Amino acid sequence: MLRIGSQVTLGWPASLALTRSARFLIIWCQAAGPVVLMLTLTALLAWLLGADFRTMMFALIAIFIAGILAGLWSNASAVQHYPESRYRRSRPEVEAGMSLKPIKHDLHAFVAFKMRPEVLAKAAVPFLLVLPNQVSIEVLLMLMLLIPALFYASFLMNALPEFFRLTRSWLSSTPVSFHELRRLIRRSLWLRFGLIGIFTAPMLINVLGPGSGLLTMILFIAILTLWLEAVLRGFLVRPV
Amino acid sequence: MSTTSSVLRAQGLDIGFKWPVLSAVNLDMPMGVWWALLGPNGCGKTTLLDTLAGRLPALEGDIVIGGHSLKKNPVSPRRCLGYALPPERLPQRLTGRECLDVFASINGNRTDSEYIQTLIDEWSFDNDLQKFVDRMSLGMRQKLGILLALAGQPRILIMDESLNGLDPTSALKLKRFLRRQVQRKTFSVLMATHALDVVDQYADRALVCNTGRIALSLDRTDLDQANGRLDQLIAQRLAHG
Repeated sequence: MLRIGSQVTLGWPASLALTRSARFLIIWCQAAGPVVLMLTLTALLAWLLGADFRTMMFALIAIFIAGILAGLWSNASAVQHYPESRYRRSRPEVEAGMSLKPIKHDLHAFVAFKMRPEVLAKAAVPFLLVLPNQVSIEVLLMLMLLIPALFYASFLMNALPEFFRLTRSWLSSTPVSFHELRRLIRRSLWLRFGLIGIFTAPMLINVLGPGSGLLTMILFIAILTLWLEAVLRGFLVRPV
Repeated sequence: MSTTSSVLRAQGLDIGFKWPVLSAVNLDMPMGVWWALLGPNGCGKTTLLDTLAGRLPALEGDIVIGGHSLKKNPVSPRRCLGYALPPERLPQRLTGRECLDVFASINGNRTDSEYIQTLIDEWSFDNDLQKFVDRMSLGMRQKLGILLALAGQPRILIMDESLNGLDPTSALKLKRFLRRQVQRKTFSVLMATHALDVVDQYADRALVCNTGRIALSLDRTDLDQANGRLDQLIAQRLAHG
């Protein structure tokens, strides 16, 4: 609500020739849309799974409260440390000194920026809609863990070419070569993708069965390796 | 004719993208001078500076910085070079301090933090360095770009309209700082600008880009003769070819 209040006077509708209440309504619809959609989908899913009224209400209230808590938590952490930036930090403040590490953190801040809750919510909708009727609650829980992990991997893959292009651009007049940049990032990337693999493999096998799970995992690793190597060799990085 | 103390030398340089924007550029810049690059919008000033800084490949000719050819050895010339990044090229998701850390790390032992600290103190810029670049004002980002360029104790400092957006006090402190360093022969300055008063008061030479070439070169005597009417002098000289 605080955000809505400030958006009415400072946000994009502020320049429109509308009354304050009309601007408030626009901002409210924009802000509440994902929440309403998420609650509707939850109700739909619970109904498809044959949940009784009590369970359905419990799920809706739980999602609503979890949403508020998540919003407060993310807001508080962003405001506490970096009151003026729209980029949330994915790490604590580092000690000042000579280090190329900020470049690595820049990549992960870029991914964190891309993985905003509203983007995640929109991207999760197709997955939730294609779920079959008879899906069990265990599988559903697995999917709820699996989807953010896979999203993180895909957002990271998606961010890489742009990250390399921008970093090359601002470091182009320095003696740092693309090779050095690549070497700096490569280890951190493989570590992150390795952790995602270890985290998702058992869940994939559990959800899809041993044969299909393993095949999906191999396919995922193959695509990931090809993509990473293509980016790290500069094939997918547009010139500055 | 090149001199032994040349910090920047370019011969028969054609610059541009697919077609030349500026042709047959010859420069021989000694240590301890302040040169200004003038010209109308779109005449190729930024393209020339980007090429000299190794950010764009030259279409023809070679650039030698600090005795190292940019074509033959892409790394060594960059060690002698400080390029003040334009505000839009700075990394948005890092703080000013982190940007300085990265540049300090790149430049290794050649970075003297006291050298930069002088300018930070003169500008009272220490607190603003904790901000994310995306939340800095234009002037703050210009200051950061200049600090990054100075991080490696360059022999030549390239600035592309870096005084834009600076408040008058900060701009004055910067100009005096640069003048002091130039007089001490710490580095040379090559600056593209539209501010004729800066050229009039601080520059040792003004190069004017026009119609695809460096059409005019005015030394300090010419600049003094202009008597504050540099625009008229340039127009006059260009009209007479």
